[in-house]
Amino acid sequence: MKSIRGFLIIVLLAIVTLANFAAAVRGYLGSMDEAERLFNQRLLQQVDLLNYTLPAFQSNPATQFPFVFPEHDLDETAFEFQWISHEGVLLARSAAMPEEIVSPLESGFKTINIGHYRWHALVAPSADKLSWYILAERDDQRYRLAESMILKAVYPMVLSIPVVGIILWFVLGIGLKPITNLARELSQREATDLRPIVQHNVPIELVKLTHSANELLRRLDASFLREKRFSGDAAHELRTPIAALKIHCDNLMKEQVVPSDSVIKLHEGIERMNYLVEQILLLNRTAPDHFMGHFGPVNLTQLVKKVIVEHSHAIEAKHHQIQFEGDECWISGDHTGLETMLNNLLGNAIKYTDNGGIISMNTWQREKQVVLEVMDSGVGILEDQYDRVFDRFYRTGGDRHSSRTPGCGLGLSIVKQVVDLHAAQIELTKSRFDSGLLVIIKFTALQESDDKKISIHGGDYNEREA
Amino acid sequence: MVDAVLLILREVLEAALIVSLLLALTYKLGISYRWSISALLAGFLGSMFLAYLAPFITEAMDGRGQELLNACLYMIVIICVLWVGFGVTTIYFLRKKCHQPDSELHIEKNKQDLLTILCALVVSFSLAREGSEIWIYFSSFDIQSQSFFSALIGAAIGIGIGMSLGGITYYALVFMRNKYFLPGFIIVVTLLAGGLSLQIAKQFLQIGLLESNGPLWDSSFLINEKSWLGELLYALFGYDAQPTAIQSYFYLAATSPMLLAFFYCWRANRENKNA
Amino acid sequence: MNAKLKCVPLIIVFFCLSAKAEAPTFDIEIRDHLFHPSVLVIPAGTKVKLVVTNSDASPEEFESYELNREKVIMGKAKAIIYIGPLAPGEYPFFGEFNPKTAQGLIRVEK
Repeated sequence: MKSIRGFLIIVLLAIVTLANFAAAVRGYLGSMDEAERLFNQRLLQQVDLLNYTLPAFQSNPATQFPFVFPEHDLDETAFEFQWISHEGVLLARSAAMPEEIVSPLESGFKTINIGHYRWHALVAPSADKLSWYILAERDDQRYRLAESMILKAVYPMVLSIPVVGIILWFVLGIGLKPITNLARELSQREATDLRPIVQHNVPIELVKLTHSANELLRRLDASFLREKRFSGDAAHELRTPIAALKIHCDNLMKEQVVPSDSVIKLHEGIERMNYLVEQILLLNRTAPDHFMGHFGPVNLTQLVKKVIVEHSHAIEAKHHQIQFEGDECWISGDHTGLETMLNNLLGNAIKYTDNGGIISMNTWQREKQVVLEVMDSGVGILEDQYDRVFDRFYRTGGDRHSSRTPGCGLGLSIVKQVVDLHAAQIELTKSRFDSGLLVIIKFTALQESDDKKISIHGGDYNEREA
Repeated sequence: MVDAVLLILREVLEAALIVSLLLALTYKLGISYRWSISALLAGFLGSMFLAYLAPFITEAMDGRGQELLNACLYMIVIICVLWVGFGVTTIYFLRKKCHQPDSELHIEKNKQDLLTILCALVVSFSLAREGSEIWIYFSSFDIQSQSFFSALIGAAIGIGIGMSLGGITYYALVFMRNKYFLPGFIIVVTLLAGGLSLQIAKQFLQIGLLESNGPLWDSSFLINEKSWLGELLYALFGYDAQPTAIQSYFYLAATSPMLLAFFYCWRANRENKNA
Repeated sequence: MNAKLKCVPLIIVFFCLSAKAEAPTFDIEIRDHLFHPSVLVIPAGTKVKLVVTNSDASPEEFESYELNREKVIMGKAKAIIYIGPLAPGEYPFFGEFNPKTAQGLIRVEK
């Protein structure tokens, strides 16, 4: 079913229409029969009238037979008659009647065609039974008269239907308001807003639905809270022993003048574990379901520069050449999330580019879009894997990655989450260098109008969670 | 007024029932109702066009133009309706074979387009033919006169009743379970094709193209054509109280493809089951 | 659709048959929304050609449930309607656009 309102309005209106119109037709037919009876009765009364007047007329010796009464100019209801003697001789007639007798002399009501019209005729003997009257009324006039009267009663029934339809439309709208309200309340919610639905005067039909929805929300909220607490606790509980391990490992390395192979491997392992834990925590924090960041105007260009500076050690260590170009771009976003994203993108570029490669980061203003490009001259990714690299724990080429760099396959998942969070689009393609990867992310630019471009530099914006 | 009610109701009811039947089908197949709007519009314009051309059409082909044109229109509608019926029959048996006669209906994209076109053809051609008579009827009135007003009221009542019945039928069909809707649709389509074929035969008889040997039977004593039930059956299946032998041949010719298709599918289905 | 196509030769056969014998012709006139004559007597057991002339300016629809006929006749136009062969009896007809006045009867006699 498409719409409850549509269904109700059509079916209700159909029922009202059927009942109303059936009544109208029924009433029309009944009234027409009744009018017919009344008109016939009037003809009978007119017989009496003729009985009073015509015989006196006959006794007047000056009368010429057949006498023709002068024409009248009554348009609406013409009443015509013929007066015939018992022998069948026309004694008198009204002007519209022909010379010949229009109907056989048998008393009763008849319909006859005279001239261009159809007539209702009454054949009746006179009071003294010595002569006959034929009284006639035009059928069309009679019909029109009766119908004009009855139509006055019928047409308001027809006109009422559109009015009923409009009223039904509004009434149903009011009746279905609680459903609309409930739907709006649910659809307007932020993803993280799991407070129970508060609705006053909920109709009984919706009480159960509201209860179930609230119960669902409560359980969802509890599980989210549990998860959040778990990841917070896990972060703390995991970081502490790793930090301790690291210190002990460093100490061990210092104690041994020439560090043994095992100690070096142990150090590498600890580094890798530390990285993995940090990435998992980041992934968790940027998940759209329970993202807790704050959106505000962010100077993307400044942020890129800051991230480059932060990575300068690693860049120097691998003798990479770094380029930066572009316009000063502002977007609306979460500072921390964006920084994480840039960190991961640049980190990947450094990681997967051999010593002495080129890395380029650009931000361009393209009308209403801000385009961020991160390009390297590294090994790149095969085209058929573009879609898969965003999967969690997916690494190109499996665990034995060609770069032999430690990683956990979460970096691009985090990037994707941040991109989704900002309703931006990410695209992977071939680098403009001889080899390598080009990542293009398109954000919606911050409109010039909301000119709250507070100068936010990375440094004075520290909202990182523990 | 009652004459207008009857005349209009007869035309509107037939169109409304066809529209609601096909709309319910497309609704169940998950096709947008948008086709019906263009089909109704086309039918409306077509009816005005036919009414405008009526003086030429009736004079054409030695005064046989009206009947021949009507026969053509009926023919197109029959072919389209049967085509739709075949499609529904295959869907019905396919679902039976998969033992899911009551699940959601769906249809492939390319067949969807064909189905919408067929439905639109049925609706617009039926409407054009029915509607033109209404326009001609109204053209006989003097706009100032009371009888025109009376006929307008009658037309409003006729349209109201016809569309109300159509609307209720639509929702009844929409709420009907697919298990019953599909066979019901096939039966109605078969009867509809048969009824329309009777009309073709009648057109040919009227212009003397076919010879008749008097009615085969007279069921007026059971259901009079002038009665409300008779009018309803006429509107639905072209009910005729006194059909002639020729008409029954036409009826058989129009219904047999559907019956054959149904029988064929049924047998194929059963053999499949046995195998 | 095949069965439909099979009908075509059948129709042609009937076409030839009907062309063979010319049916007797009767005239009916529609004037002032009345049929003239309002009672028409025709022979039983034979096909009859009715020529209905509409002398009015407005269209009329010749309709009869008993004869199973229905035809729109435009204003100032002429229409040909074949009826029969019929059994003896009375077959009323009427003008559907003016059913109050336009009423007639075909009486079939041996």
